[in-house]
Amino acid sequence: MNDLERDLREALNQDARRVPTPNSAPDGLRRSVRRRQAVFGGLVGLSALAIAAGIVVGATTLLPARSGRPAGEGAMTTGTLNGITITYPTAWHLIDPDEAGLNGPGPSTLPRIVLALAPQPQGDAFGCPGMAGGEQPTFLMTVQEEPLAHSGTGSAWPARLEPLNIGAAESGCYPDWEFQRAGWTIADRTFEARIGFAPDAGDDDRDGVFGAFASMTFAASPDGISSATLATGTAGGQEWSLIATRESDGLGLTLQGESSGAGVGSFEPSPQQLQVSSHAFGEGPNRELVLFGAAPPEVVRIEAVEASTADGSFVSADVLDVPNEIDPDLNAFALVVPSGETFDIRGFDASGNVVISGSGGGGPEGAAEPTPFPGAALEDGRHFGYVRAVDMEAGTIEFDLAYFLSGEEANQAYQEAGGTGPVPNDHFVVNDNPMLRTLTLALDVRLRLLDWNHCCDAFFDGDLALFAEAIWERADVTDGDLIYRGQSQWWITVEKGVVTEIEEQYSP
Amino acid sequence: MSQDTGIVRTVVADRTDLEDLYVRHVPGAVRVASLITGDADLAQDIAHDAFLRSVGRFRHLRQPDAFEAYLRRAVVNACTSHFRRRKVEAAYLRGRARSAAPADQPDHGRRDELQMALSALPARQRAAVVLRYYADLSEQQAGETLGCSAAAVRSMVARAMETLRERIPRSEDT
Repeated sequence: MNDLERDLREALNQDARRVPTPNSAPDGLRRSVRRRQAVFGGLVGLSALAIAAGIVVGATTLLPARSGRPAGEGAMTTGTLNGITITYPTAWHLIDPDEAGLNGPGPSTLPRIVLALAPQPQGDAFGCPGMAGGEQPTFLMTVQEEPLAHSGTGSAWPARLEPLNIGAAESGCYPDWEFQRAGWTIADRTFEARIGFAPDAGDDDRDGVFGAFASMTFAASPDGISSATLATGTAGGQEWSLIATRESDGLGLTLQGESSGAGVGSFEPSPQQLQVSSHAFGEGPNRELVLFGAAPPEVVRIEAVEASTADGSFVSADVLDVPNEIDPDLNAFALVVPSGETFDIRGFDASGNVVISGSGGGGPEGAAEPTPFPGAALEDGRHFGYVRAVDMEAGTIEFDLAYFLSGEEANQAYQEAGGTGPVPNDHFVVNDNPMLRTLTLALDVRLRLLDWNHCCDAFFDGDLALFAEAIWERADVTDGDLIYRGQSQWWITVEKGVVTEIEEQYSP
Repeated sequence: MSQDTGIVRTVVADRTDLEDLYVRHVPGAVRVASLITGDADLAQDIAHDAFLRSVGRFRHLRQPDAFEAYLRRAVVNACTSHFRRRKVEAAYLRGRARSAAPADQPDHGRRDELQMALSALPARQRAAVVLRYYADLSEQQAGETLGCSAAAVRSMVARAMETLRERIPRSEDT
């Protein structure tokens, strides 16, 4: 540890010791929590239940298809939600998770709760039963749809409910509850159910819930397969999953670990270069890297060779099939390699020929140098376009690639776009792709801005914070007589995947 | 006695659990919030509000021991959102950065300069530094709290340290 780090720790600790902190819970805490939960009630309870787990012992482990009709007395009814048809006692409530706000705002991406069943309407039943006043629900049940467990890795339906122990931290909301869970794949969809029983749940409740669970039938999603788990593995002592998602601008891949992960979007078919990203798991000597990415369909096997060694040691794996409904032109791969090494990555066709290559990994342990932002990167070189955002803290920019044409090329493009005669100012910008690329800035990125006081071939070295402010405000920001333009055109220089220079393009 | 009934027992247990949860986790959350925002009163509000929002959601049920991490994440998000919402961070930071410039300030000693320079960092950089050097989180854990990768944390901390080195004299110079 150097002097600065040591002093920083001491300064922070000294500051922290000066901070007045509460030594007891404030009066009315429970009431405040309950009031807050009334607001978030629906989301809280079901999300929790869907995420939680628990168990009821022994009893009914299996969720056998008991003749498609719940056990239990009284009138029964049947309802369908999100392609799931379920039969349950009329006195109970089938709850649409979207209407109840259980999935939160935003797009309906997986995982997503697709069905909920409770003895009371959601406003009463969900939230935090243990802290809610009034009658508590005797059970809650949710079904969550997960990314499709691809390649036959999911369990079949009917599924077996199994007990799952949960810790003590949730006891405030689910005191002494018992939970069970089950997972299964059917009709090209993968589900997980969570069922919780309150301590006073009776046999009728249990029989009714188990019967309702077993009665479920499933239709394929009208949207087809939109998300699939391609592979699972372990790296750095953590389990990971590689998930493919159909996105509006191409294939998206997410490497999801137990507590961290990396997402990559906008993969595009490339005949020349493997599109590789990575994420490290674990710490210290256990740290390992997962290289993952997309490959064209002719590639059947991927091999990663340490670039610094000539002994031929390598890691290889077969490519992972990406369902055509997600992306018909690409497959995927994932390799676990030691962290801190750079790897040459090759793709082989069925005949054993190398048909594509790339690189990944790299950087010594603890290196402070930024690494290229995964996916959607630009090749090394100079590129023209628009800087749409600057994230100072992350050290990245959002870049909208465009093409700056001049001469006859510009005239031709101008006329194809409907212009007549020669293009004004002898240049024309073509920006026909809305995709934004997140690019990492070098620590010493140089910002060359036009000095509009000495227009237009003089530059000054700009300050990144002011540049970020101008881009954020989409307006000019001045620093003395220097002007940072919030809406301008830029040339960026990319070296080893990292932006080393941003230079302003003069435009009248 | 009525306390033997299931409902009463449950209520008593709830209150105990909730208050215990509060006392165990909120003071630490207040300190982290205060180090990030530089405002002890605001930190109290942020930590309390984050606790109320966190306690019922129980996303940590999948990892029951993760409540502290979940609360910390809520606190850090609230701190950084505070600045973003006000949309004044850029101006604020510029002003603080200028006021923190060593040439403009009397010599308060290295620690004071450090604290001043730290307060002038962008919020997420400041949060990354606090999580790494005060909360002693690994890059990966800090990334989970900040909602970014370990590499992004490394980059943020590196940038922060570079800024701090620029803004304060080396110890042998003091």
